[in-house]
Amino acid sequence: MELRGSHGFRRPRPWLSIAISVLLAAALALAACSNVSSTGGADQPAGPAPSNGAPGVTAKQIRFAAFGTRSNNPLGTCVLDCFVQGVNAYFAYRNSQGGIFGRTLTVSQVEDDALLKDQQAALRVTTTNSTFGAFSAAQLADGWSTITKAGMPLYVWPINPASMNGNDAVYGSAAPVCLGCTRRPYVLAAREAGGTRIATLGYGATDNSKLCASSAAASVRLYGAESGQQVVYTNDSLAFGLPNGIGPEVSAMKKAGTNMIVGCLDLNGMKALAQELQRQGMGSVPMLHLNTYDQDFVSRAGSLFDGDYVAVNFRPFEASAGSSQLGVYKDWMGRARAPLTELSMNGWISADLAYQGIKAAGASFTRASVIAATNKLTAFTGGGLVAPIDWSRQHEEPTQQDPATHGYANDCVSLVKVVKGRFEPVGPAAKPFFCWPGSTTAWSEPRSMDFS
Amino acid sequence: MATDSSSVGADFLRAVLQGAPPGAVYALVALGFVLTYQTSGVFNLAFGAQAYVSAAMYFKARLIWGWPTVWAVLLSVVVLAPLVGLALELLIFKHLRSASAVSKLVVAIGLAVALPNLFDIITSFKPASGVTPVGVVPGGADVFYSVFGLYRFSRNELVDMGVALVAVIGLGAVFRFSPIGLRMRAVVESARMTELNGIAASRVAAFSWALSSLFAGVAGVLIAPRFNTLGSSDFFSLMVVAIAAAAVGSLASLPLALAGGLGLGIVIAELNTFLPRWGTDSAWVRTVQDNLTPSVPFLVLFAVLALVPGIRRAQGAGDPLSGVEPPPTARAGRPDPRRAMAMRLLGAAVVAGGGAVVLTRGDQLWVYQVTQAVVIAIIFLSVTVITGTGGQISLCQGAFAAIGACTVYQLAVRYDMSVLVAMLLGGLVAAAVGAFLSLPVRRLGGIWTAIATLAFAYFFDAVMIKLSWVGGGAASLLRGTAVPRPRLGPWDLSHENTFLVFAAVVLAVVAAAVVALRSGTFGRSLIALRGSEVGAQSIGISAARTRLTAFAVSAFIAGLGGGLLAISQRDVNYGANFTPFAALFWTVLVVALGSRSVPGALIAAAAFALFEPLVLGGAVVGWLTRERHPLPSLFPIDGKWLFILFGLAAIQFARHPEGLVEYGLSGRSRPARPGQPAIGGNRS
Repeated sequence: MELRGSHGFRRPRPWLSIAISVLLAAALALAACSNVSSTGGADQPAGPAPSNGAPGVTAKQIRFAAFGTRSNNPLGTCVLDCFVQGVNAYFAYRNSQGGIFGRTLTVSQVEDDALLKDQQAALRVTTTNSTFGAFSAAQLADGWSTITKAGMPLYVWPINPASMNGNDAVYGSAAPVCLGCTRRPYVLAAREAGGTRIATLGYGATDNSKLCASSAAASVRLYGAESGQQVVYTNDSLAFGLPNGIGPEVSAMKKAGTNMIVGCLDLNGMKALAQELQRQGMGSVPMLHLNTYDQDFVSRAGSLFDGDYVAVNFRPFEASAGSSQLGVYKDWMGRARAPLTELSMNGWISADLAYQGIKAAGASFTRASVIAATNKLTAFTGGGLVAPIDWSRQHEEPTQQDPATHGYANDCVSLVKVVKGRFEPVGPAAKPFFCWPGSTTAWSEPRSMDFS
Repeated sequence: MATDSSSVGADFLRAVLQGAPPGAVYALVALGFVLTYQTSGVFNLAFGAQAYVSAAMYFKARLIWGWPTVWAVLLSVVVLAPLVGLALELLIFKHLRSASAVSKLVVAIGLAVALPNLFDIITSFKPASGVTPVGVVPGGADVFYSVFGLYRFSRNELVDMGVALVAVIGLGAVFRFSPIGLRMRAVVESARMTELNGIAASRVAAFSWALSSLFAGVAGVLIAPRFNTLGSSDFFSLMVVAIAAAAVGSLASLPLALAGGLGLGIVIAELNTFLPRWGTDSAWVRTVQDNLTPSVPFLVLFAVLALVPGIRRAQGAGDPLSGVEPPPTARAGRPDPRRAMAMRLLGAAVVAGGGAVVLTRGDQLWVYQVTQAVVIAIIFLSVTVITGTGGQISLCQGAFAAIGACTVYQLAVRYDMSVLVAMLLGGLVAAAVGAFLSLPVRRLGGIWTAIATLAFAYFFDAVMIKLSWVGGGAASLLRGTAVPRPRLGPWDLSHENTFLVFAAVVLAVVAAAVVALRSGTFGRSLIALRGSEVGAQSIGISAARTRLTAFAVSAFIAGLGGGLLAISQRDVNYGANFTPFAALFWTVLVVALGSRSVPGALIAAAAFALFEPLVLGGAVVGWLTRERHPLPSLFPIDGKWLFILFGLAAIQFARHPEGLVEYGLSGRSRPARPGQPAIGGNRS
């Protein structure tokens, strides 16, 4: 088939060639001026030079960058902006107390990676080099190593284990976990829900979802003798987004007598699953959600998720604050008129880690000394918001055979239950974490713990 | 009807019922393809975009503005959808009446890229998590009706199925029995002959576009409630599946398209019902289950392409009078050689000077971005070969590039092979896949090549990349798909500037090879084939063998570029680099700027990597005004404009298949002397 135009001779346009040449020349000339022009939006540090000479540190401020996914997020969830809300709220809280070492903390540069350009966003941060460290909440995090190669500490929303694993300068609100290992929280959630015949579901297109579904099934099987639970259906090859619906799978679960479902799906997928369960008369079968800690989303669904359980990786908003930082978080988020979200809590915890690292490094802190000091924090809890993380040994994933060397000392989870469209804490509100010893994978009764 | 609800028979019947609603959705879109193709001659890959525009408008009016359903439907379906169709006809397709089907397809691809982004920007529309679009009937998602006690259909689903059925009957009747149906088909066959019979072809065509766009609006509004988050990407993915259904009807039969859509939905439901059950005991069934279901639409499409003879004949379909109507005129002039030489020298000087400046004064960000432009240019040269020279539209260049990247990852990381050797082998593996892929499509040509390659791109995305021996599988989740930078003799390519020089050398070699290929026997055979397949075959050129070679060469270049891209980024980064839609945009860019010449590919790559930071990011304005933060309220401009501008630029492809660059760089023309060839073929 010929590729040719339908029109004939046209007068050429020399201006177009000139314009293209000028554009190309401008592109290359700009590169020449790029030491100045590629800055992402932050001014150079002002004021007297600090004694430690660290970039982004002035006599009055410690500046941070934040980058991640703001636009083009196909899930429609608030990622970067909500994460930064948490960071800003924490910094406002600390600054109200005088900051640290006489300096206030601030996010001075925010870069949108537009979903697919995380590396470029990270490079805008490093080439600007006007910030001390960086925060990142990215759906596809391929720019993290760029930050750490520049010597900057990086505090992240920890959903990209491949970019986190083995990198000693990347910190999250959680340490890297073994996605394929067995985990006791699945069994606990099923027990709380009264489930004995368990189904597990995951997407085939995304490895973490697939691994989660197989891990949940393996966990139920491993602890079956103690829990009395069994796997009656597992499917870790669902099409992402469920374009064909999930009718046959729900029929199969119904046929298998499923009375509890572990869903390793995104929140939209869980909604589609719940709708299909309702259609096939299984609306009362409880589900364990792993990605649905979003009160607005659950409220909008009415009673669809009532009776379900949601796993949370930090002290839930519904738990009592006790002496933890939960109350302070709520207070400062309220002052910022920002909603309480999973992302903002992750941002808050990450900001606390940045603060604690600087504090531990001392007044003459540098990037390297903060990284070194942070890696000596052996029981970071974000003020009782997460189970203790030992950053001296938890930069790598643990394994099924060796859960102790790089794993949590306490293998913990928090659960909330959906009641009339609202989350309610499961277990004692003052001790919202269910924990097992991290040194072993053997079953034992979980202890309710509080890390305030 | 009493049925043992646990028997195999009941399960089978239940799966039929469960497959019907998604099947009806596929059918609605497939009917849209057939309708548009039959009434306008355009294989409208922008149908999903049109459906999305109406769905998003309905969503906005109904849920954000709080309008009643009737008014929201009137606005989005009755008013907006036909207006979009009329605008497309009057502004674009009216002028392309005698263009080839492939040219129209390229225009439609450009629209598919541009329209959703344009709508999103104009209306400030963004996907909202968990805010599910509501259907057009009250309680559409909540009220169910049981069928045989086996399964319950929601009101929304019943409406979908009902509309699909009514559309087949109604549109079929219009085509077969009404004067306007006859006229619409006549205009597609030959607008000129239709006008000679006293029929205003323009009005008929405008009506055709309004009708098909209205149908896109209906489909969009009906389909939207299936998505818990409304976004344009879902509509495009859905469209790719529906193409298989439309292919069942050879883009001609509405009933077969309906059957194809329903059949796809039902087959997938049956597989999802029975494969997991059998897979419990047999590991190999598990493997089949993992990979078969997502690949069903593409297997069906390939089966249709390979087995249905009507498809192969369809490539010759079109205007039967094309042989007697004046063919598109080649530009009767040659560029002034002095001006052309001056432009080449100027271009070379700009590139060399700019390169030197980047290497000596560029910071890490600019070196990275220029490196990306250089590496992407290599991949874009693969489009130059297959589209610019071969006249074939391949929409799977991203998959070929990903094969090269994954090969580098597998060989270098898992088997400790030299990265550079792995890069070459990656090109060869991609070439082998390209050659294999060309076997079923090499005799098709035209739009079917584009459709088959798009299907392969989605097949690779849905199935292949998940395999551990391709994309790394579960291991890549925790370990990533990291690729090391090699050392080449005394040069350490882990240094960014050194790598940029290396990439530029590779680009120069590939560009020289492409120029040599074009001017050699192979290139001339391809150009002859592009000009006239019958004529080329009459002088002994084998169309099948030449196209197979073209696919292999093009895939090799894409694979080589993909491997180099992975080395450049130190990671395969499949999701960020090689997804089908991203690669679709590559094709749009290259054909818009110039698929027939090496400079076209180079400038397309520069646009891809540098347009956003330079123009949309405000760097150019900042540089001109010497302000570090130029007009902060204006910049950065939304990155979606990149897709809008170049998507719309692809519209001019049908008029100027040489692309904007060659068209612009050709300079002042002078008449061709007798015996000199017209412009349009062999350029470098």
